[in-house]
Amino acid sequence: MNRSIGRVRWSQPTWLIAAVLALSSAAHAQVAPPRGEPTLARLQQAGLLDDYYPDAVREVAESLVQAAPGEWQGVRVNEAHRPGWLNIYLVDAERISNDEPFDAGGLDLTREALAGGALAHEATGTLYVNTAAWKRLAAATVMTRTGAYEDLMTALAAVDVNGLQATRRYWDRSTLDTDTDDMRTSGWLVRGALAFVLAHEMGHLQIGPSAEADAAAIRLRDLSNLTERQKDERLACPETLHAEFQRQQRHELAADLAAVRLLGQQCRIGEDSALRHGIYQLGTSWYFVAAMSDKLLQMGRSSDSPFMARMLRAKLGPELYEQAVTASGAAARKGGVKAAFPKTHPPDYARMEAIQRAFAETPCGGGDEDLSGLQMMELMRLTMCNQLTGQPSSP
Amino acid sequence: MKRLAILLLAPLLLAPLAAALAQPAPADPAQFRAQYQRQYQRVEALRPDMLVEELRLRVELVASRGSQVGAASNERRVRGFESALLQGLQEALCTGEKSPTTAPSSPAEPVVESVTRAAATQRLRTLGADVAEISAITQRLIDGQGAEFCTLRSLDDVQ
Repeated sequence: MNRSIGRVRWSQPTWLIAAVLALSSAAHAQVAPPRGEPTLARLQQAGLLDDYYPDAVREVAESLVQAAPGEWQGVRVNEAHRPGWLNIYLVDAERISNDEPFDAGGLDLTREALAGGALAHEATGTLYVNTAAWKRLAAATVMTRTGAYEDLMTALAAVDVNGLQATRRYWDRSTLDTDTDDMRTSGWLVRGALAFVLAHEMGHLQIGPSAEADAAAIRLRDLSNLTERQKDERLACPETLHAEFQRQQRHELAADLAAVRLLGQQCRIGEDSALRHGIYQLGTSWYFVAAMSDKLLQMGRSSDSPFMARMLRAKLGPELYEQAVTASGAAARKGGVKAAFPKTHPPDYARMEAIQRAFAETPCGGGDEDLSGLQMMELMRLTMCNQLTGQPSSP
Repeated sequence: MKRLAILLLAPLLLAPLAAALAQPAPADPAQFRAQYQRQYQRVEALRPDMLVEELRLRVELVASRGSQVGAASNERRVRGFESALLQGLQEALCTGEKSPTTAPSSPAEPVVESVTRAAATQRLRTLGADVAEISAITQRLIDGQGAEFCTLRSLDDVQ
């Protein structure tokens, strides 16, 4: 019987074996690059495409593509997918159903996956940019520039409480395109933040999907007997979590550094290069200010720390604090570390520090920001983690 | 003539082949069992509340895969998973008179099935190792809870 099966297998025509191998390799690569318009057509059918500043996205992406000669033939925004090009689709993640993620051919688009602003699909060389996240940041940025709110965290909280439709006048093109100093500065900040996000995702396309997680051991002094507080603190210590989380963090840091390689050459590319480089550097910081603001708000919702509550109430004002923090607070407040330290990415301060250091090594150089505050944060994290793992603290 | 027949039949032969290749490859049973047992032993000494914590972290690992610039909370999908898992397990294990515990050396079929179904409800793209490890934590939780498992309304109730 076995011999018979073996004979049938080996007597297949060569073309059939070749076809099997071709199909097999496509399956291992997760998905074959889409041909023609399937992705575009399906995004259109699902009503997810959103033409929010496609011209600005194209312009920023083209400047980044020029920093990686030979990597991409050009940029396509909301157009039929073309292999070898940087394909970008602008989607409104708010339109994605919670129950039915959009299947982008081997990659699920969910609201959560797009919450940071963009998502890369390495297998097809495609970036998905979430316009809802950009409208939110644009609105909050305009609010800070026009004096509606003093700082970005308060403005982001106000946008969340009121919703994007009610705050439309702050993110609509009719506002942002007016020729005033405030709108010009707002445009620079948002455009610079977009440049970092695109560069990060282009970095993912350049370095490819990460390899399997290595078998790093989980180090924890006593996993069986953690207090509620230690359970929360543990989330800031990747060495106490599954090896794949540790691998994800390294991969995201590598994408950040690849992004800096694209951003750090802008002073040498095209017209207004020095201004563009400055905008992209400033925007990178603006992106992280927004990311850290979101985490502080989330910490307020998940922690019962009186200090955190006092700080946020003073910052937001009593009314906005009630609406943005108390009203959407977690039923069981298990601690703020989880919100501050994502498991999949290094902490924001660590990313900022690595990015600042990497900028200094680029042809365009970097700022001379004081990094001691960021280093202090890392020292505190290490001390906390060493207590959990039983490791001696470094001097 | 024979070559012509093969050529004509080629699309019919290749269609199911392509469909089969599009599906995730079934896990190697020996590897699956080894991953299951390794994880079961790792979590065997944990308190029930820590088991729930480990289960949530392991599901979150699956939900958070991808190359996105910023981290986001996947709590909604994790909670959806555990709710579907608990419902599926109670339907499968709590209808008879026997306690829902089994031998820890091998995954109980209803547990693996419930994990797979719960993942499908949240459209989580699980790999073989994910199912094996989540099943092991789930099985350990069931074994530790005994008959009380059938009275749980939520995994938040596990103390």
